[in-house]
Amino acid sequence: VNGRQVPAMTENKMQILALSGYGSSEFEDLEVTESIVVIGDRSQAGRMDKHSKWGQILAYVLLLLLLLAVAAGAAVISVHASDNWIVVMLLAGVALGFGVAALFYRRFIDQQALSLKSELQEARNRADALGTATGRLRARRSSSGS
Amino acid sequence: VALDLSDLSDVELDDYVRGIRAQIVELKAKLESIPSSRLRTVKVVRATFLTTGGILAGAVDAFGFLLVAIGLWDWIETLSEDAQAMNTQNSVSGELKYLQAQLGAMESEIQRRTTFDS
Repeated sequence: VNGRQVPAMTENKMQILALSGYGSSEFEDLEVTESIVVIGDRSQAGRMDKHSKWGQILAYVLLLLLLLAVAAGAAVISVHASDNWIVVMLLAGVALGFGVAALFYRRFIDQQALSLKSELQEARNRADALGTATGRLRARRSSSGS
Repeated sequence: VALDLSDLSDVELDDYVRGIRAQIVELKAKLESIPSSRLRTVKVVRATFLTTGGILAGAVDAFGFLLVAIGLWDWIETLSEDAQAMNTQNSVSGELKYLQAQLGAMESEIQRRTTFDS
């Protein structure tokens, strides 16, 4: 864009976000001559892929156990339930236990999201401070003529 | 290929910081909102009651298994959404670590230029 490199972005909507990082006066200065050339950062995409699907695996294991328990429970109930309430209560307890486990899993996700949000805010503050520092550096250098 | 920040001009360095800031905003937008997270907690509770109640009811009447089926459906939906949210968070966390490293490198570079000037 106007001889300036737009930071690596991979999708169209991200190109707009990249440009939104420019100040309004600078944005007016930008002139799109032919097309916006975005150089995708493939290494970044690779890093995203590398992140294992632990969340998904955990959820599916939980679900599989639940399905097995309920299927076994349904079979047992259909055969013995009428004369064995202890079995029924036990199975209901297992289902309740899975519910509690699922709630703990939800809580873990929420905690992770909160911690990520605070880390993102911290990174944003650092980036803001860096923006100020680079602005100051530019101003000092341009005033000193270097 | 790692970008050598010392090769960048002051203007390019400034642009690079803006780019990082934009990426941080974009990452924040990827995270799930609190209301939708709460909605899923409600769904987990609902699924638990339906399944447990269904098992108890199933001992009396086969109709109870319908409740179990509905509860399971709820559970499957919620857990798959949970897994998706967690995967997104994992990838955001990875990208954030990369950006934090970039910010660290930027801080060192600005420090280097400031020291060089003085």
